[in-house]
Amino acid sequence: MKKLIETMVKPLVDHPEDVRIETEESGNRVVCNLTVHPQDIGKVIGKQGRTAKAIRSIVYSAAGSQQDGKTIVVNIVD
Amino acid sequence: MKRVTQSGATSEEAVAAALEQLGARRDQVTVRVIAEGKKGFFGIGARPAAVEVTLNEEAVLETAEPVSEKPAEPSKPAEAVPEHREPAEQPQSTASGTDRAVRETEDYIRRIAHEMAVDDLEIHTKRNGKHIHMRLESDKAALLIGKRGQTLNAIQQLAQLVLNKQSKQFLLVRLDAEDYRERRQETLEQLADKMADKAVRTGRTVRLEPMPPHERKVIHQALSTRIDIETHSEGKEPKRYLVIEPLK
Repeated sequence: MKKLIETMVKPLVDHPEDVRIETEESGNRVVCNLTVHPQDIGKVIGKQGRTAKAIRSIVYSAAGSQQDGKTIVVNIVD
Repeated sequence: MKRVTQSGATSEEAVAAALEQLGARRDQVTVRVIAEGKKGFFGIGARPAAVEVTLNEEAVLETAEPVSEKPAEPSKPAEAVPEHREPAEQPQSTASGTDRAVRETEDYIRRIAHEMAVDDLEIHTKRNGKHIHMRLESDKAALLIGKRGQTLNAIQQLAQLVLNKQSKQFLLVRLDAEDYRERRQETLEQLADKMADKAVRTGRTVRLEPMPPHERKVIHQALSTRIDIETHSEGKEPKRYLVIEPLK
């Protein structure tokens, strides 16, 4: 899942080297905390959160197709 | 005198594209803005900016850049290399820039699909001006489409961003898988007619569920020929929805 988010986010930003994803697991929930370069935050969120929403829906559909059935939350940390 | 008219998403982008076509720098040209662009949303209500860029002959001669029709003299390539640009080749290199952007976008989609455990993805790309149409083929296409095309729309949105990050020219990408778009259009048209009938029959306003812009467009278009109703959209993205009003 971490790799999927990286694959999606890196080409969108100007500083791909600053893309970090930390995952925390607790029971059935996986929280992915995404950190990007301060200048790139707007890029991953997008106008009215459009890009963030797109990233989330792809993550959710990928998670839904996996067997373990864990709920995934994607956080953008600023 | 060389003059190029170029359109783009914004006047700056149009100027940049024109400069690339002419193989000139900003200080060698005169720019006249014909139309300021409007961004719009998903191409709806978008108006491209148009500029006319004229090459100043004197400025070019001063900097001794080869602008004439004949190919550059092989006698002085050493000094010309860093800034050297052959005007005749310029349109080609712009096209290849777009091609490269398209190829990188295809790669991007393929990598995302791979991470979603879709390994047999094939992408067929057609280009028509600024419209890039990509048809995705896979045994697991359903996974890429998602519920009501949510996933497909999300990938399309990201692909659009990556494409325009790579390309100088503004491009619109449209993704399709298993003719989903076509089937969805039919469904939407049927829904549109059904809801319009309902509005007329009950004499009440009918509100549809929220839909992305291109789907609303399909419905507006499908109902534009009917004279017994009127359509408009209400609410804010992404929960904007279409309203059908019966006319008395």
